[in-house]
Formats: sequence, C-alpha cells, structure tokens
Amino acid sequence: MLDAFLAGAHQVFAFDTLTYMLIGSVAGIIAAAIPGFTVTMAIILTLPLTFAMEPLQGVSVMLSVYVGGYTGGLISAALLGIPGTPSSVATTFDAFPMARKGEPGRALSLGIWASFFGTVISTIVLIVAAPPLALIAVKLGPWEYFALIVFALTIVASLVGNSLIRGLIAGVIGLGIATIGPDPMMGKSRLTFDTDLLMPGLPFLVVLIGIFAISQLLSEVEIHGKKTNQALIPDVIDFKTWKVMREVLMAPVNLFRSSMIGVLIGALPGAGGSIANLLAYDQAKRSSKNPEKFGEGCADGVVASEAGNSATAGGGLIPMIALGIPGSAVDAILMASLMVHGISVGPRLIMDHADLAYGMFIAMIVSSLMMLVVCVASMRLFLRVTDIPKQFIVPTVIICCVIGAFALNNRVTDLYLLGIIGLVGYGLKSLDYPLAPLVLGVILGPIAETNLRRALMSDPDWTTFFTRPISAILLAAALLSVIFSVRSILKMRKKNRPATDEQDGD
Amino acid sequence: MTVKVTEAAAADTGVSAASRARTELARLISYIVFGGVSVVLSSMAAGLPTSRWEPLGAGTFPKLVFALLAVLCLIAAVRSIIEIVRAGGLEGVGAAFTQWLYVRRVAIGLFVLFAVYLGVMPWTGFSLASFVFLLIAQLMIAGVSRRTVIQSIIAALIFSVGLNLLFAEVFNVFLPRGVLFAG
Amino acid sequence: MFRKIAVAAGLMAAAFAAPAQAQSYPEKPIEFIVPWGPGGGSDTLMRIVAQGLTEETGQAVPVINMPGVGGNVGLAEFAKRPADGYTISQIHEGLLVSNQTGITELNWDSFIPVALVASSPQYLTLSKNDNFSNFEELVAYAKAHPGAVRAGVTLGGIPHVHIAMIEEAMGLQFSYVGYTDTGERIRALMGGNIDIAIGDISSAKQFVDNGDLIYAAVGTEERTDDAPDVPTLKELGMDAELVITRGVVLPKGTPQETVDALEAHIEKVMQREDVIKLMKNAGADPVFYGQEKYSAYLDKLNATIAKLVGKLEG
Repeated sequence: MLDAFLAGAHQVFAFDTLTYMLIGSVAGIIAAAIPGFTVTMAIILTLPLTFAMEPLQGVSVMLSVYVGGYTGGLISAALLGIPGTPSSVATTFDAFPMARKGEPGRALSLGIWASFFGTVISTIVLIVAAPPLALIAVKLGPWEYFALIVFALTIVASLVGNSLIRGLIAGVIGLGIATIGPDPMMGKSRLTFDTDLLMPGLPFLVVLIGIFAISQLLSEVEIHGKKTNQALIPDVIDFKTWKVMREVLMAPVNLFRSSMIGVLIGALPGAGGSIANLLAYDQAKRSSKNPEKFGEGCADGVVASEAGNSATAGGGLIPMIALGIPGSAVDAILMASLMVHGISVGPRLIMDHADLAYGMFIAMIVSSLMMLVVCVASMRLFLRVTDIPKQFIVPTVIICCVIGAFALNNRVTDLYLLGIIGLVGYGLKSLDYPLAPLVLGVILGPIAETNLRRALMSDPDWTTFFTRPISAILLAAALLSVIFSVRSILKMRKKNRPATDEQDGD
Repeated sequence: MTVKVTEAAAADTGVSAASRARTELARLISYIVFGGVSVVLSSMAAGLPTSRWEPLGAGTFPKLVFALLAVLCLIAAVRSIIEIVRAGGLEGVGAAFTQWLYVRRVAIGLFVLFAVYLGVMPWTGFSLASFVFLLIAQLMIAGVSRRTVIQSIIAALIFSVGLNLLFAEVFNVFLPRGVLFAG
Repeated sequence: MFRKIAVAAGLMAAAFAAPAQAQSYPEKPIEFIVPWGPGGGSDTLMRIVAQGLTEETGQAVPVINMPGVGGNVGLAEFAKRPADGYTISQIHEGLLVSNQTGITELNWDSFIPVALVASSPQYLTLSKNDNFSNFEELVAYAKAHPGAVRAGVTLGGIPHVHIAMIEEAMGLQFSYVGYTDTGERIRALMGGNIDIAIGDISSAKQFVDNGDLIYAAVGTEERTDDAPDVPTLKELGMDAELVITRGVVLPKGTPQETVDALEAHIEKVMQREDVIKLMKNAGADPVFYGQEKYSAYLDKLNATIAKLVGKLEG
C-alpha cells in the first residue's frame, strides 16, 4: 500500500504535472466565474488536452479544473450577485450583501477558505469511507430518492425571503416549469403547445441563467435617485486572509456539517452540487442562533454554502472510485479520460490500479491547495471587476450568458427561452418574489417525478415509502422540517411585525 | 432626476399605506396571471393519455403541481385583496406605474434591445448581432460622447468577433451563423 | 455511457493533421449533426467516424450535438438543411421506434441512408438474486411468477423493444420500470432495485467480471470476443437479434453522385485500423453496410418493430 501511495505521489509531484495542474486550476476558476459558463464545459474542453498525458497526470489536471471550478462560482456570486455556476445559487444570498456592504474582500476570503476546507474534508471522507458509502448510495432505490427530494423541497421555507406565500408560489412555478417538454419516462411531449420552442423542454442551465443572471443584470441598470457609478470597493482593501481563516475554523460545527452534507449529496449519483449548496445553507440557517441575520451578509451563510458545494467534489468521487459509478457528469468525464488510456474504472480499480487511486486522493489535496493559492494571490484582480463601469460589465456578461445557453445544446430556440425566462425573472424580482425556490423547484422537480413514478412501477403499493427504513426516516425528517419552519416563521413574524411592513414598498 | 428624489422622499414619509396598496395590486395581477395559466395547464395535463406501464401517467405530476399552484395563487390573491382594501384604496396607481416604468427605463430598453438581438441572430449571425447589441447597450447605459463611442466600439469588437473566433478556432464550439451573413 | 466520451475527445485532439485528397466532394467542411448529447454512445462512435472522415477527405468534419426529444430535435433541424452533402447526420433503432410509437413523424426513409457503420451487441444482464442466475432459470422463474421479474427499460424505447422480444419469444411476462439511461439501469441492477436489464459491454463488463452482475445472453448471431462464455439467444432457442446499429444519413434530395462519394469515403474510413480499434474500445463492432444493404436492413427492422409496437404502446 505504501508503495502504491509513493508511486502515486511521485507522479503527482512531478514538475510538469504540477504546472499543468496550476493552469487547470486557473482555467477552472475563470470558467466558473463567468456566468453562463460551467465547470462541466471547462472539463469537456480540457479533456482532449489530457490525452497526450499519462493517465494520472491527465486526471490530476482535470481534478484541478474541477476543484477550481467549485470555487470560481463564488466570485461572480459575491461580486455581481449572479451565481457563476449552478452550484453557487445559495452563495449569492450572503456573499453578495456582504460585498455590497463594503466587505467584498472578506466575502471572497470566507468563501475561498470554506471551499478549501470543504474540499479537504470531503477528500478525507473519500479516503476513509469510500467503499461503504458507495455501497449505501447504490442500494438507495426510487423510494429513498423521492423521500430525499421531498426533504430537500422543505428547504424552500428557508429561502422565501419576505413572504412565505410568494416563496411557495415561486417554488411550485419551478416544479411546473420542469414538467414542460418530453416527460421523463416515455418522452411523450407535455404542455408544449406543439411549438419548436417548448418541444425539447426548458434546460436547467437556461432557466438558471435567465432567472438569475438576466434579471440581476437588468436591475443593475435601474436608476434609483442619483445616478451612482461609484466604485463598489473602497481604495484600501484588507482581505484579512489569516484572520478570516481563523474565523472559518472558529465555527467548526457549521464547517463540518456543511461539508458532510456536500459529501453525502455528492455521493448520490444524480444529485449534485446545486442541491448540496442550498441544503447546507438551509441547515446552517436553521441551526443558527441568529437566523434573521442570514440573507444580509452573514459569514456563516457564506461558509456553509461554499463548503457545501466544494465538498461535493470529493463526494462525487466516492461512487466513482469505489464502484465505477459516476456521481455527476463531471465524474463521468473523469472516468472517460481514464478509459482512453485503457484503464476501466470499476469496483476493481483500487485493487488493479492502487497507485492511480492514491494519486487521485493526493491530486485532490494538491488541487485544493492550488486553488487556495491562486485565489488568494488573485483576489485583488477579481475585485477589479467591480471597478469596471457598468456599461461594459452588463452587456458583456449578457453576451457570455448567450454563449453559455447556446453552447449547451446548439439550439437557437434555447436563446429565445433565455430571453423569455429572463423577462419573467425580472418581473418576479421586481415584485419581490424570491428566485431561489424557483430554481430549487426546477432542479428537484424532475428527480421527484421520475423517482415517484419509478417507485410506483416497481411496487404499486404506496406504503412502501413508509416501510423502507431510509425512506421513512427521510420522510419523517421532511415532516419535522416543515413543523420547525412553520414554528420559526411564526416566531419571526411576531418578533418583527412592524419591520416586515417596511419591506413591502418599492 | 430631482422629480424622482422628491417623490421618493414623499413616498417614504406620507403615503406608505397607499404605496403598499399599489405594490400589492401589481402582485395581485401576477397572482391572477399565474393562477389562470396554471388552471389551463393543469387541465391540459389532465388530458394527457395515461399509460398502461405505470400507475401514474405522464400527466399526473404536472396536473398536481399546477393545481397546487392555482390554489396557492388563489390564497395569495385573496390575501392581497384584503390588504388593498385595508390600506384604503388605490389612488395614484397611474402615476405610480409611470414612476415604476421611469425607474426601469434603461432596464426595459436593454431588454427590448436584447429581445431584438436574439430575434435577428438567426439572420445576421452571432458576430454582427452581438457587435451591434454591445455597441448600442453600452452607449445606452453610459450615454453618448466621443470617449464612450470609441471605448464601446473597441469593447464591442472584442466581445463579438473576438469571442466568436476564440470559440470557433480554439474550442471548436460554433456559435450561431447567420443566413445573410456567415460570420 | 459517459465512458465513451473519452475515446471521442481523443480524436478531436488529433483532428488537425489531415492529408488532402484530390476529389470534388467534399470541397469544404462537412457538419455532422449528432442528434444526441455529448458523451453518449452515438456521440462517441460518430466522433470516431467524423475523425476518420477528416483524415480520409482532408476536410474538417465538426460534430455538432443537438440533443432533445429522442433525437428528434436534431433530425428535424437536419431535415431542413440544404441537401448538398455538407450536412450529414446519424440515426439508430431509436428513431424507428419513436416513429412507430408516435413520438415523431420522421422515420428512416425521411432521409437517405448512406452507410451503417457500427453495431453494438446488447446483453441481457441480470442482478445477483436468489431466484435465478442464468437464462434458463430466469425463464423458469418468470413462467412460474408472471409479472414478478422487474425489467429496467426506457419505456417506449429500444431496450423496451428488446425485452419485449424476449417476452414474446419465450412466452413470459415481466413488469417494467422506467430507466432512460444505460448507466442508471446498471446502477439499479447493482442496487437490486430491478432484476434484469439490457446492457452493452462497456457499461457492465467490470461488474460482471467482479461477480456483481451476470450476463445471461447476448443478442448477436455468434458469441462475442469480449464475452465468449455468454451464450447467444439463438443457442438458447430464441430467434432474435438484439443489437443497436448506427449509420450515417443524408437529407432527401441529395444528388446521387454525392451520396456515392460519401459512401465510398465512409467505406474507406471503416477499413482504417485506428477507427476499428477505437470503436471496439467504445464497445461497438465496426461494420460497413452500403446504401442498399443498409436500406434493406432498416426496412426489415422497421417491419419487426411494427409487429412489436402493440406491445409498447400505452
């Protein structure tokens, strides 16, 4: 075992490997920082370049893109209020207000450290507990998936903002949007009015970009009172890198809980970073002593959301390394890159290619360190983005969104959808509907429907949901979560009855 | 600009109940729109054929979801009406709406421009459409002066033609080509 | 299924150095619309073909993925393109099934079939369970317990057709659970959430080798080199072919000399050793059927599916 470990380490710590990984890390961060571009896209573009490399070298480079990508989304989330990747939706809730309050450096530092620790924790779990966790993940049937999604849906309560009813409406609109297009079982077209526009359905990425990016960019150019073009950032910025690190570590419970949520969600094939990001945020808010501070620039919120999404990187590798089952599209591409070199990833990987498996663990840790160094070194540069005048930022980011939406499926109709959804998103935002529940609905709706129908096909008896233990536990947790939310909303309402009224004005 | 400032100040102090009623009216309209649409979609979904392979057909889930949405919108609408009545009527809706549009004039202009941009892209291709979009949008936000025009032209060229070249040549990703203009 | 993307991308990397050939067609790059997402079986195999064509003709053959509605979105767009030979596309059995079940108006004869290039043998794959561990036991158990064996299929898709063929031939009745992706089906088999599924060599081999899953039968004429111990359905007394074939098509109205030229190029591509090796890596058998043989094959296949379609609808 030690031999294999050293062989792996030897390959990762070669000079050229480290150089390529550094480039990969930078590329991942940049791709994820641009709204509309995703980590998946960056990895697909990296893939051909890794073929000329040794297998472990290639995988290491891709891992560095992957880890960098989970952090890069933070940058546009904090500075522009637009999630740079689907897995940084919750990051916008607190990082953006914090930046707007004049602490953009702290917001970035917090997110970067949280991402770093999240990745490291997930890698440790991966090393220690991959095989048993992977077996559990594979055993979960449609009943458990459905129950998990029901539980995840209850976090809408944490995302509703000023009005519970509007939050619920937004969430259900999201569920509804996701049912348009071919049905997930038979491909029969539903609610498409026989138009080319709706026939292929509404792709998640297009909805995300439209709802968050387009609406946010449009509201950037509203003119309230004086025309403000002032710099967002004060002249002297102190990132307080080390102080923030201590701050992150001083809340170990939050960090650890959020990372574990990321690992577990990441280990479930098909779930992914966007759910982990929102779920970790929700759990942090619920267990906080000051839940009312969330959404206004709370450090715990930034830490939870970023640790949560970054930890899915290690989590997703669990079923892949232990069983050869990819947890996400990105993991699948990683597997593919190994396959080209004639290494088939499966249950025998750790036995047949131990050096490779250990090398991947090492590469994860090295990637997270590189991400940290690159981010800390270049934070000042990223903050320059906020100095660029609006007239350049807004139209250019719109163009990036257009490219991202188009490159996904090469369909021009997706661009029309982007425009329509952007308008709807802007309208909803203007009327003070919270947008995150809508996105959550779009993510969870198809998974819920597919698994509900699958469960009933496997066993027409409804009670199976309650007799399978894990499913029953998750459903009970969902019920508790609803009760808890209702109670805390009532409490909050009593506490700030006069304050909420103020919120309603435009 | 000054008009806006004084109005905003007035809104803050005196007529907050009326302003709340006006906002609530806008929301009421949105509840009615969403509710109406969801009733239609729910009944459409109910009409989808069932399947002999499974207890739930293609229509069941959307039917339930849109029915739930309709119920939520109904509740919200009722609460909204109560709120409006309690706040004491709706004077000044017209003026407030004009004000609302005025604040968002650039945003609305930008969206219209965006819609036109997406609409013409299949004919003009990505590069040309993007160039014109970027140029107009930048000038719309920054105002026209010699400096902004020069800056905008440069930025627009980089992010239209430049991006297109980057994606086509380096990444092998082809952005929409136009019928009239291939670039 | 994502495993295959790698093979494809390797080709993209090497796509630039290509010798030119003195022939009138093609004179400019040929766009290859693959009506499926990146990383799938069709995408991988067609990228291999595209790469071979690039080297054979000296013109770039960029692959453009246009997924959606079981290939229908891309094929509908393809049907609108000029019939000049500079846009080509790909179909497989799925189109014929979608046509029969009413998902799409298009069928194989909406296009000109140029050449069949790849054939992927499909294996009947069993989960580890107490009731059966080979084909005979499965048949015996399913006869005794109609509807008790859960089959994971894409409802109304090719895997559904394949399972229905087995049902029909053996006089069995399974119950169906919808899983649209081969990877998902293999996962569900591993978790014991379904009992049988159709899989290909690249998605299930590792699990079979490790003893987690069982290949009960293969749907080819003869035993395969990849899994020589697995009996064919024919040996087991069932006359049916379970394969997925993929071929290149042109829009209706393309001049005959262009069709012939493309066919000739593809024939040469399919003789290239690198293409053959890569296709095998991706779990498919490289083959070549020209226009006539391919059309005849599709016609026959269409009749088979039409016969079975009653079993799929609903």
